Amino acid sequence: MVRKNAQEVENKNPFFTLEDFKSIEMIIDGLNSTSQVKIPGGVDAIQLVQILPDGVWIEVPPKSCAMGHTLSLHIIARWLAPQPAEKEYVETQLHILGVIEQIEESKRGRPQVRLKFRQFAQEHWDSLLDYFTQKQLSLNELIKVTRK
Amino acid sequence: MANDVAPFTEAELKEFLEKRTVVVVCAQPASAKSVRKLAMQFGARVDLTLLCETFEDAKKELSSRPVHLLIADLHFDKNLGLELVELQASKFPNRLEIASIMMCGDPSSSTSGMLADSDIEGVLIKPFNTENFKTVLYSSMANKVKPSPYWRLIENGKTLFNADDYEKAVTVFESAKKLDPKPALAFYYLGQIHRKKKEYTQAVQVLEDGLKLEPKDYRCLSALLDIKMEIVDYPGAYDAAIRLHADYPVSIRRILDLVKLSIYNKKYGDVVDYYEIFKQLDHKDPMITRVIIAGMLVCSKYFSLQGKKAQALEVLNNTSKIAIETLIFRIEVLRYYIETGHVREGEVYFNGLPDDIKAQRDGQIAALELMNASGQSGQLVQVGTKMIADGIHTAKVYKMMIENSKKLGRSGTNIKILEDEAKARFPEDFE
Repeated sequence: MVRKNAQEVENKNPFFTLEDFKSIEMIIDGLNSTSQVKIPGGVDAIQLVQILPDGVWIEVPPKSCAMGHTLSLHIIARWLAPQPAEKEYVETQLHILGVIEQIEESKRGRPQVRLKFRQFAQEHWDSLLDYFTQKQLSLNELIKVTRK
Repeated sequence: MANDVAPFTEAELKEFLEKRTVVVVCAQPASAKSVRKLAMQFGARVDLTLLCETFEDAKKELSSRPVHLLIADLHFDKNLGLELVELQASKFPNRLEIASIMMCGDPSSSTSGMLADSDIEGVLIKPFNTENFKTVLYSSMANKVKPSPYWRLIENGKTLFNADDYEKAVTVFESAKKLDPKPALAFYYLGQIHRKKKEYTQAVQVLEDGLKLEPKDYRCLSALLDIKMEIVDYPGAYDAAIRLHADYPVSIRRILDLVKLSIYNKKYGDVVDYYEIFKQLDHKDPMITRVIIAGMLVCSKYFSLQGKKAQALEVLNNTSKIAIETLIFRIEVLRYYIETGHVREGEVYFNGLPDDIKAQRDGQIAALELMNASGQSGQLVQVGTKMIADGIHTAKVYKMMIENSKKLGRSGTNIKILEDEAKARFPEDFE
């Protein structure tokens, strides 16, 4: 196979490997604890948009929540572990409980809400954020080396 | 290296950005506002930083004014933010003054490959934070705020190259070669000039010279593959693909060529790799879908001929999923189930097809082929007789009818009538 044969080539790029470009597998199930409306993972699932110091901006299905509502997120994520490692994948699960402090409606896209964290497991959250930071760095490097 | 990130201070970036127009294109106002706020934090001016919520608004904006920094969503329904990059570039002679950053969710391997293949300067992954935005902005502006002399010459050479002024462009790129210890990009453009002039041998030589200095240079490897495809040197192109994708993700743009190369070079097993990439695509182009299905079918037959029945079946089952999902080559998939000896699985697949497909001419013939493969001679003759009466006349139908009539011991007169009809309609097939 093209890539597998080629991996035998010496002098690997020191900044990234092909494995760095495999995407994360992430499911986010949500529950609006105020209205008791479930927001299941899937095509119309919640998506993380922006990380804030005390919370996160997320994209949600229309009419799934309102200002002041409490939202509970259950995130299950799995990604390739940086090698060498004992396990091939890093897996993490975390619960986040937060309050909606801002809503931005969109004419075309889905609404985005700012969720201020009330309860969350810092260690698991940081592990997830580390994945995105690492991916960002690998992608920066890819763009840089392909333009030299 | 001279073309590495040019160091600049925050104040220099601010000074650079505050004189320039920034356009943020994002369907979600919250994201758009956040990005604008961040851009302004690093120097963009409020009155020169515009927001566009739709792809159409962005096209209008980019057509009406020069935009120095474009920060746009990669996906807008069926549109790609990369189209905006081309529009942005059309207002400038080269990219010394401009930069484009695409925003997307965690990109798949093939999306990363596509972004590497484009002209953009940066990719911002969602979810992002201030630090990641800063990193992307700084690396995107590296050759803009304080471009090195090497980079200036490269961009000037590109302007001449794009204007087809090859003679002057060669002089500029030759000068650039002296300004950097590993000037692979200068070699890349010199190779492209030879390619434009159809001097393929020289083009390959120049690119290989560049690769001696920088063995993993993306542009040189990529151009080598393009040239080998252009001159129909498929073994050479396959080797170039191996070199390129040893370190770089496969771009969506290349999947078509890579599947073809696998088939032409009889590396059928590679197609399974490309299927894995294809599965992750957000938008499955019909042409790529056709090529993937065709490649997978050939691959299944190859595995079958090698006696690897289980692998052949796995490939076929994966192919049938794409065929059903995309409505492409549905009947052809059935034929490969039959040809590779997976008749029972073929029956299950066929039974799952919509009735209108089964009722079509090709669907009826395929059903007859299934009966033939599963030894249902009686049913085949009954159904085949009706099909012929209904005007479905193909050499294959007649062949199956004659063979199965003989198996059933039908009267010689019936068989003779079929044979005469077949000879009259398809003389070449029934000599």
